Amino acid sequence: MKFQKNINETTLYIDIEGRLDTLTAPAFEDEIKEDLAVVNEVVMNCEKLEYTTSAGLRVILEIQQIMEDKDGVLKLRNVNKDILEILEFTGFLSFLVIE
Amino acid sequence: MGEKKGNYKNQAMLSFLQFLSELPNFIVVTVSALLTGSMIVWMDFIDSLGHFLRAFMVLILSKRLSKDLRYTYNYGVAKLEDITVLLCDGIVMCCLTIATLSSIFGLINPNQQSGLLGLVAIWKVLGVTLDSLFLFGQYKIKKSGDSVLAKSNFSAILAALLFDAANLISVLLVWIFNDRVWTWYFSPVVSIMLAIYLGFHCIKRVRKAISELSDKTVSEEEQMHILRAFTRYRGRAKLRSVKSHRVGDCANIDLELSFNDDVTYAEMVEIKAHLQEQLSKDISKSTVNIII
Repeated sequence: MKFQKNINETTLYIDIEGRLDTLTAPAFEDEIKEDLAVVNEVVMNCEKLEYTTSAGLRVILEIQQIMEDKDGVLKLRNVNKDILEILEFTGFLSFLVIE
Repeated sequence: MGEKKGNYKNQAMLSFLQFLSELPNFIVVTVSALLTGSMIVWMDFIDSLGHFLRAFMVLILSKRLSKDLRYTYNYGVAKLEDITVLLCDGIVMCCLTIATLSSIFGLINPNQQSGLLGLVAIWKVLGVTLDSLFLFGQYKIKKSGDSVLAKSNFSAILAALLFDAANLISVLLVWIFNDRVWTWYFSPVVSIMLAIYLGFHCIKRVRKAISELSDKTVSEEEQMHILRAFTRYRGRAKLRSVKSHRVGDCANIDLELSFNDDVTYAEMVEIKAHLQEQLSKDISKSTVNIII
């Protein structure tokens, strides 16, 4: 899994690539933790995100909860069909902003 | 913690009673095996040794755990039994290997069996009678309710009865026909068959114990179910952590939640109950702890 991040004022843009799973999710979370404290919007471009496991979903939930605490928002963009199915099954579609 | 301490005390008491009930048979069988030298009786000794060691080990461990070690080791009674099974059945397997090798040696160099087998047969008649009485009692318990424990005990007593009966028949045959040459081969052959039977059960117990002692990851599908169960209440609570592992065929799930300020205590209890109910439906054989 690879990712690039970029902060523009109060928005954190993340381009994520590969698989977000048990091996990669904790490192991803550690890398963005400090950035989350200084932004109130996170935009994740999932165009090249192939798949996410429950570990990845937990990180997405964590980001969403942090944003919610500060009236911010998490947006997922270009989510593929497989990931959308997972988000639907787990009920994440009911509270995530998908663009 | 109080309930756990009670479990260990009950287990210690039960193990003490089992230990006391195994002791006379173990002594008699040991003396008989030493006096007769018969491989069939040595097999009985190994079987008795296994029961005796298990009762003794569980007694010692549960006594220690009910005192101070429960603060060091977070072991339940089931894990305690698993550790004991591994240790005792390891010893029994070694004994079975030695006994099987001796039986093979007995087939190559057959010897006339001891005349003292008659005394062993009398003791075995007593054992079979007691097993039959226990089996009858357990059968009545089993019929009166649909308890898993009662069924399991019934199977265990039935197995013990069959083993003792087979042992008794073998001892009687060897004792009655002691002057016939074929009885010289009979004891080692029966011993090898009994060793296979005991070894098979040992391996089954050891495999089950290893499975229960090794903490495995809860499957990905089950982890998705955990998240799905939580998201239904997401508007009122936040998920702080999920810790899950599988012991044997049971999934243990710890969910740490923090509730929003406007959620009342009654609502928290209700959400907790719903989550536990939902997860128990989605993940069969699961224990769910909700930490608030």
